[in-house]
Parts: sequence; structure tokens; C-alpha cells
Amino acid sequence: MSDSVTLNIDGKSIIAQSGERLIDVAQREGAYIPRFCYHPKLSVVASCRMCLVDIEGIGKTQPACATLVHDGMVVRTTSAKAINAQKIIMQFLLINHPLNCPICDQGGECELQDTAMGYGPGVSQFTEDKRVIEDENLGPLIETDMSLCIHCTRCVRFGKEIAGVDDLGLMGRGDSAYISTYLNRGLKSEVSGNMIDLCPVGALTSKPFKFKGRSWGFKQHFGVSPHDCVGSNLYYHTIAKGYDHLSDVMRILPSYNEEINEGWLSDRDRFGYEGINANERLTKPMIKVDGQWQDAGWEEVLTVISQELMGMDQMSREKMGVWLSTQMTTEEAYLCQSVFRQLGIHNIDHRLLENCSNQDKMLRPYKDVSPESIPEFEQIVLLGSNIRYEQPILALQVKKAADLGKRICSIGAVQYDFVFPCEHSMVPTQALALEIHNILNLPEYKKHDLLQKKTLFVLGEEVLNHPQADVIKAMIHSYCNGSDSSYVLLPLGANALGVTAAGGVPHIGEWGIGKYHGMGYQEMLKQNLTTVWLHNIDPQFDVSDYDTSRVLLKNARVIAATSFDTPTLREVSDIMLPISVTAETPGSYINYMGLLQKFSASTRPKGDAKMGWSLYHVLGSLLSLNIPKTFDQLQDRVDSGYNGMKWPSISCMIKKPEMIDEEWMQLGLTRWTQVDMQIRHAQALSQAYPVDYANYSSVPVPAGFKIDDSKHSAHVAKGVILYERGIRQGASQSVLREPGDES
Amino acid sequence: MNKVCLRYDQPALAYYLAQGGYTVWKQLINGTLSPKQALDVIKASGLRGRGGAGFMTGLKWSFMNRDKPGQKFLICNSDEGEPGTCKDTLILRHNPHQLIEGIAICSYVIGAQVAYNYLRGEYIREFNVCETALQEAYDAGLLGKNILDSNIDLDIYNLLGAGSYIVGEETAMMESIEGKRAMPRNKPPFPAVSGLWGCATTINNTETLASVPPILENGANWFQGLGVENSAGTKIFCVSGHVTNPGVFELPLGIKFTELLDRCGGVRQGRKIKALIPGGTSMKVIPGDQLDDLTMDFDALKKAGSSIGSGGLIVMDETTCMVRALTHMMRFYHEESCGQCTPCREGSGWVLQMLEKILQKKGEPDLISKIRDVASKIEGRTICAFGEAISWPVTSFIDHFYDEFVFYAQHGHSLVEGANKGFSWDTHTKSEDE
Repeated sequence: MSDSVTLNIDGKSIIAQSGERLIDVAQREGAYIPRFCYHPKLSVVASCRMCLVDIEGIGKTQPACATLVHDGMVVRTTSAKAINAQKIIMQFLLINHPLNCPICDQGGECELQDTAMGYGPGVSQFTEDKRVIEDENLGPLIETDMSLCIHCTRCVRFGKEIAGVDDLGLMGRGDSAYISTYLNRGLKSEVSGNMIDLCPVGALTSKPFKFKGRSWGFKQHFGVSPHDCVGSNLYYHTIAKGYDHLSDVMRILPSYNEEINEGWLSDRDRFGYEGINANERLTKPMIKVDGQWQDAGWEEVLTVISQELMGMDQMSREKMGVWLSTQMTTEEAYLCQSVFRQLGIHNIDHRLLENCSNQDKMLRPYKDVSPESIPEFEQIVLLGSNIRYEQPILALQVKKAADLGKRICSIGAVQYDFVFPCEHSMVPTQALALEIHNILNLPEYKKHDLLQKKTLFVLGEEVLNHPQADVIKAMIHSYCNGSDSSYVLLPLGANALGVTAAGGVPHIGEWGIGKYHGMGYQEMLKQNLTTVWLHNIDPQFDVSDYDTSRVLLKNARVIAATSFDTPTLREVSDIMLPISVTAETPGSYINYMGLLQKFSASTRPKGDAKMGWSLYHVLGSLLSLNIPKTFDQLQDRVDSGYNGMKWPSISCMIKKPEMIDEEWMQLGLTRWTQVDMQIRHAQALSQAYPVDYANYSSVPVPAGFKIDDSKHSAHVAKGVILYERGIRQGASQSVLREPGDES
Repeated sequence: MNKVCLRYDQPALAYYLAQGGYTVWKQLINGTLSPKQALDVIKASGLRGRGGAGFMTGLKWSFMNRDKPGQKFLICNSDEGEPGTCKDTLILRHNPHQLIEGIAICSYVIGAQVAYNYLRGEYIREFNVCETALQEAYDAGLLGKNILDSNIDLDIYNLLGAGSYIVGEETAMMESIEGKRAMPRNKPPFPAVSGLWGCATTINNTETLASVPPILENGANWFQGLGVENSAGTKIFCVSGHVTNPGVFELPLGIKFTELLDRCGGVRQGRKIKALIPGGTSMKVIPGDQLDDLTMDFDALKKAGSSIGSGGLIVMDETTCMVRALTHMMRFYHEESCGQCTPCREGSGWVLQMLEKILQKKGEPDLISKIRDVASKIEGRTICAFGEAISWPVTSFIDHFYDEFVFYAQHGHSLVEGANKGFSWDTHTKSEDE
């Protein structure tokens, strides 16, 4: 593949690598060849025939997408023969394509429209009847207008080759061929939105975005996904809304970054924007007076808060907790902990989902395992990770690895439904740490024969929130240390690593500097806190022990900085401060490999809401603390701080972990469309992946009750009660069921 | 004159063995004939593919590197779907063992250990005959593992299609064997490089493979002697249409068309011949006045602007309305386009719609040149040869019978007095005069 060849395109001598596709080489050299079915990430079918070019020595015009370059090739992309062929194909494509451009959502960003400008005739020769094809209901995310389809089958190939979901196919034949699911049960894929981007025409468009705006009316802003720790690059498209710099986020499109998301986006990232404009946004500061919520002014509430904080004595400072969201930007986290630490409040934590009592083992990046390097491992071991839904973009890479014949194993309490072949090993939560110890350390334990291969361990939600998470992390770390194998920690939330680095943990200060004696979340739960500061935390969903924390919060004075007004927050808190969501603030996120990505604000915070960092900035000023004066100074501090970041070392001393002595253990997991407040308020997403109680394989079980084995799902290890965070009310739980799980 | 493919007419193994069948296969097995020698004989015989394209069979086999490691496949294309063609059915029904021997010889020569005989969906009788014959061959130890203690393995499978026309295209057939929808693949890569399941594959027509054992039995010169220059051997001609006695004949290539017509008893009711389609409907039509000196071989038919194709001759007498004849053919091609690539998918429907418009008396005379223009735009721009199969009949019919098409468009009825209205599922219930 590394041989270079010399060819001639349009009279220009070009050096290319053998094995490259002519269409790619020509485009790189500035000779764009029109195409519809070709996509660099998908297999080549050469069915649209739009890219026909004239190659010397071959009588017929050849499709440039299916032609590999070879030495001495002479190609003409603009000869009369080539242009004639392309015009003819254009004519054939247009005869049955409705002239809907003025009312079609794809208008303005349509590959067919653009190409027709160059190759289509002004007047149609076609005077016969146009073909009409019935629309298909693909669910709440994708709108269809199948009469517009030009049968390029990009969506079909994406489903099959990238997403691993064989739902779409080409039915019928001849000019009555059409794209359909056949079974008419919609399209269930966590990355289905990419088909909207791939569709070169308006056959597949975004349903939530339908008739909302025109592509040329938008302003494009770079952003980083706020919903998972991969940090997919994306664009917010905003539309001006009258004067005063007001604008609304209208949609999200992927930004091409080969190292991270390769131009794909998960549905969560793509359709999460609906939460930004949700009615439940908190737009005014609110204060609870005698059990009644009242609107208040910023000055009023900030004065109350700053006086409260200043008036605290040592005792009450030790009884104050600061609970942070993993979605906050690094700048917000840095400023927040700086303000509270300067006030002598050290009970700061963001690891609210963790169940491990020893929380000194922090998150940290290990080796630089980029998404694109995942398929290079010979074996991938998923430890308690439902990677398909937790980190959909990484799951695509795991699928790629599986397609290359790499072995994928999954170890954990739940047999997840993956799109790639996977060897499941169901281990109850009680024995998980012991099992991992055995696999790694016992030579006679050949069940997984891990020790012979270059392995990637993927530690997901189930393991990171495991009561023995500290031991498991240390075991994996010491196994990988000094070998080819590697591991990645994939916490929920976009910026768990950034908040950790910025000092959002009780025992270590910002950038690994300074040791403090604050309490971690698990410790705080055992104390009677008098005051709790919440940053974008809804206790119903975002903490590991809702029952205990609810009692704690109800008894404490709770100040909640929040983007959304939720019933739980109304119940437990005393003051609510409206703050921005990620799209409305500048900042940076640090993804799972430790890569810091900056972004600027795409739109203004809704109503009276303030950017998160400016809330702490004002608070710090009111309290006369030492804080950066501007956002630029703040970001510089974060930059230089993170550059000098010293991750604490992980001890490699491991003793054999004990099996947890419980007959039944609860395992709480978060539904992928409920990981943060913004996503929980994105309407279309919650309809697309609804919480389906009727299909639960186990009835809700009150805590402490004896559980009947027969009601236990076959996909969950014996001895584990799986429940989904958020839907649990009081002591009842349900067994979580992932979308797509058939049984 | 049935000397090659149709020389025997009993499907039983005992009969075939009694005639000296499987001797070449046994020679190959026991080493008295080397694959190289066999290939040289086939090359020297000048055998050309009988499926339509007429590619040199020996050359095709030589693309396969016998000694290169890795799985190789042979496919026998018995999906005889070309309208007007019914030659393979006779081989499959009456002489299956000669085909099996041909498949076995070819497999061994190209180094394949698995061969598939893919029959068209409607050939259930033929399938049953072939299955019986195959079982007999297995029982006699002529196929399977360790054939006749020679350490040579060969497995042959009969497969039955699902009834589509396009599966007769070689790469579509591979897709179908792989369990996918029969849709042609883009070439290159050619099957000899990457065919069935990505392995090197040779695909030959039934008649081609059935010709192999007699050639190796009697030698290349014998086969050359049967035909004429560049067109060696015999060919099975399937004559249908307006002849007194339609039939299937195995005759030497280079025979005069008039002689062939005489064997069929001439044009029915003593009428004049108007046109001939010489090789299945996807080949170009030859008008009646050019038929007197026409010989049936590759070169002569090429000179006449057509091709021998699959050997399905369709004779049309003077009462034929060419507009209706073409429309009828186009209904077939519109129905059978696989829908994968643009020119064929969109063009087949467009051409048919315009032709139907003429039949419905809604056509304008300038529609004719538009039909020809659209059809010619399909040619050479599709993934498979189906584009030509649509394009060639349309362009040749219009080129040779332009006046007739214009007349129909202008007057709303055929130029031919009393022309038969023909038959169509769509329109046979409705009267055209209504």
C-alpha cells in the first residue's frame, strides 16, 4: 500500500499512494468529482454513477469511486466525454425527483441541488408521471420524504457497516425500488441521526428540526459534546432572534475530527439541543419563603448568599457540602472550588454516583488511547460497560475492531445488547472485583486467556461506581503498567476528568497541588450537613443513594445553581440560581484521554440566567476573594494549570479482594438519555428511547424484601437487582432494560 | 447434427458411462492428462463462451492461477433467462452428466474444489434431474472427497434461483450464492481476482462447460473443424417466433441463416420475414432484407450490427408491429431492472413510459428521437450489461424501423395492417380502441 504511483489528472501530474481511490486523489488535488453514493467511511457500491470519468485507454467512462489509482493512469474529469456522462446521470437522477426544493428542509444544503446547479439542464425533458413512494415512520428523530430518495443507499450501508443495525434496506426493484425498514417498527440506533447527514437529498431529515429554519440563515459555532466523556466535536447552529444578540440554538451538526468522532455524532449529542430551549429552563433566581417559591432578583439572592457564607463559623463550614455536576466546564469547576476553598469549605465532590467508600482513588487518564487507536488492540475487555449507550462514539470503534476480527469480551452483572459479537461473562456485583483479580493474576485461570494479547480494558459505569472500584482500578492499572495493554476509564458526564483536575474533589486541590481534608460524597452522606451547594445536580437522577441524600438535603439549607427547574429541586432546595447550559458559556472540557478542548459560547443564557463561571466570579468578588478578573485570565489560569497537571499516582499494591457478603445487591445505572439535566429535557430523544415500564422483566421490588428468582431477568446476574436511576420512587426499584433488548 | 452438447439424450449415469463418459475426468484424476494439457486443448479448440459475450473460454480459465493457495470456485451459469433462449434446459434435462463432467474438468483445471451449478428459479424439473445425476456421480465415487483414491476433492452443488432475470449476470449470481440480493457488482475487480466470497472465481455458461468433455475426447482440431474461423464448434440455436416449426437445433457455427430457417419450415403461412433478433431480446435486431447471406457465427453477426448472444433467434414476419414488439420487450426489462444503479433504474421506466404513451395514442413524432436518445444514454454507464440489454433493442428497433414508430405516433395506430395486438398482463383486458 505504501508504493507511490504517478498519474495524470486533467493534465496535472500527481503522485499518490497505490490503493487510493481516484475520487479521493482527484479531490485532494482540487478536481472535485460529483458523487452521491460514495462516502469515504462507507463501502463502495458505485451505484449512483455520478462520478463517471474519462480514463485513457478505457472505452467506457469509469466510476472514480470504484477505481483505484495506478501508475501511468491518465484521467480526464472535465473532458466532453466525462461531463456528458455526468450530465446524463444527473438527468436520470432528476427525472423522478420532485421539484420540492423551496419547501424541502434539505434545500440549501442538498448535494443533489448543488450538483444540479452544475450539471443539470435548465429545462426537463421528462413529461411523464413522477414516481411517488410512501413515507416511512422512522420514529421521532428522523423525518422521511421517500419520494425524494435517489437510492444511493448510504443510509443502508451506514446502518450495516458503521452502526451495526441492519434495519434499513433496499426493497423492490427497478424504478419502484425504495428504502424501507420493511418491518415498520422504526429505527432504533443510538447513532441513527448520522443518516440525516449522510442522506444527500431531503429523504431523511431531522424531525425535531422540521421546518424550523434554513441552513443559510444560521450562524455556526464550534462546540464540544456536553453529554459524554469522548468530547465529540460539533457545531451549534443558531438563528438570530430579533435584536440584542438574542439567538436560539436550532440544531447540532457534527464537526469533522478524525481523531475523535470522525464526523459522526450520537443521537444524544445531536438532539440534546432541545433541552436548551426547554420550557423547564430556570430563567429567574427563586427563593423559598415559608415553603412558597418566589421570584427574586440576582442582587437580592447573592446578598443573602454572600452574607450567609461570610457569617459561617468553623463548625458550619465543616458541615457544608458542595456537590458538583460532571457537566460543568473546567473553568467553572476551578473557580467554584477556588471560591469555596478560600472560604475554608473543603467538602467538595463531583463523584456523586460512586458507591466506593474509599474515594481517594481518583479518575485519571492512563495512556493516550484515542478512539481511532481502539481497533489496534488485539482484544477489548469491557468491564461493566454498556459502551454502546454510555459512549456511542467509542462503541463504533469497538464495532470496527470486532469487524477486524478482534475479540471482544464483556464482564459484568448485565448481559448488554451490543451491535458487535461479544463474549459475555456474567459476574454478580458481589464477586466482580474477585473475578477480575482471578483473571489478571491466576495463571491457571485460562478462561479469558488475557495474558497473551494486547488488551484494552474499558471500565464503564458499573465498575466505576462499584463498591470496590478503588481495588479494581488499582488492579487494572498495575496489570497494564509496563505492558502493551492499556485501559480507559469512561465515567458518565462530559467533564468528570476536568472537574477532577480543577480540584472538584475533597482531598486534592486544583492541578494536583495541595492536600485537603474535605469529606467525599460517601462520607458527607453519613454526616448531617447543614448547608449544601448544588451545581446542576438533580438529586433524583444524579446521586447514587437518592433515599439517603433526599433526607439529608431536606434537612439542610440547599442552594442550587441550576439550569433547569425540576420538581425534586423545588422540594429539597431553598434558593435556586439560574445558570447557563454548556452551549451558552465559554469554557473547556477534558475528555477521557485528558485532551482539553476549548469552545466559546454559542448563544446567550436564557432569561436572567448567568454563565456558571460568572456566578462564582460575582460571588468571589462580593466576598473579596482572590479570583481572576476576566474570563480570559481564568482560562489562562486553567490552561497553564492543566499543562502542569500532576496526576496522583495509583498504588499498585494489591491484595486479593474480598467477595462482598450480600445475598442481593442493588446496581443503579443511568439511562443513556438521562445522563444530565439538559438531555433529560430534550423531548424528541425521550420519545425516541422511552422508558418502557411494561417491558420490564422484573416487577419493582421493595428494598430488603426477599426476591423471587423467577422474576429475575436472564440478562442480569443472580444476586443483583438492577434499577434505573430516576424512575425509582421511594424504596421501589425496577430492572433496567436497554432499548433494543428483545427478551 | 447434435454432436457436442446434445449428443446424448438420456440422463442416466449408466447410459453416459456406456457411451464412454467420464473418461476425460478419469484421465485427469489418474494423471494421464495434466491440467496444463487440458487447458491447452481448450485454448487450441477456440471454444468461446456460449452465454452471450463470446469470451475465449481457455483464456478465461488461464486467468486462474491453479497453484496459488486459497479457495477457488467455479460457477456454472444455468440461469437461462434471456427471452428467446431455451438451450441449457435441454442439456440439463437430457445430458446432465456431460455437464457435470465439464464442471469437474474445469474445476480441476482452474484449481477449484467447490463448484456451483446455479439454475434459474423456474427450472425445477431440470433441478431434479441434475440432483439425481449428481447423486449418481457421488455414489459412483466420481465426485466428493478423495475421488477414486486420488486425494483429489471436488464438491458440486446444484442451486435453484428465485426467479429474477438479473441473477444471470455473473457478479449478481455470486451475490445470490452468498445469500444476498442478486445485484451486480461493479467491475473491476473481476471474478477471477475477487469473486465468490472474495475468492478467485470462474463462471461459465452451461453450454460452454458441457462442450468441454467432447472437445477433450476428440481433440481441438475436431472442434475447430465443426465451425468456421473464429467460431469453432457447434452452437445450440433456439428458433422461436413466426416460423412454422419452432425448435432447438445444435448446428455448426457458420451455418447460413436461410438453412436454419428451412429446418424450421420457413416463415409461417409463407409470409415474408420482417426482422430477426439473433441472440435473445437484448441483442440488436436485424431487418429482413439483410438476412439472405447471413451466416450464424460471431464475426458475421458482428458485421451485421448484432451478436450471436445466447443463440435465441426470434423471427418476426411482416405482420409484426415493431412498436408493440419493442414495448413488450421493454415491459420485461423495466420489470427486471434491479434498481441499483441510476441509468438503468430511471431509464428503464422512462423508456417504457414513453413507448406506452405512443401505444395510448398520446405520442408526438418527436417522442421517437427522445426515446432513442434516452435509451442510448443508458448504454455504457451502468454497473452491468443490463444497460446495454435495455439500450440495444430500443436503438436498433428505432434505427431500422423509424418510419413505423413515427407513423404510430402520428396516427395512433400501427403501420402494419391487421397487426396482432400482442399480449400484456396490464392491457389485455382493455381494448385499445376504447
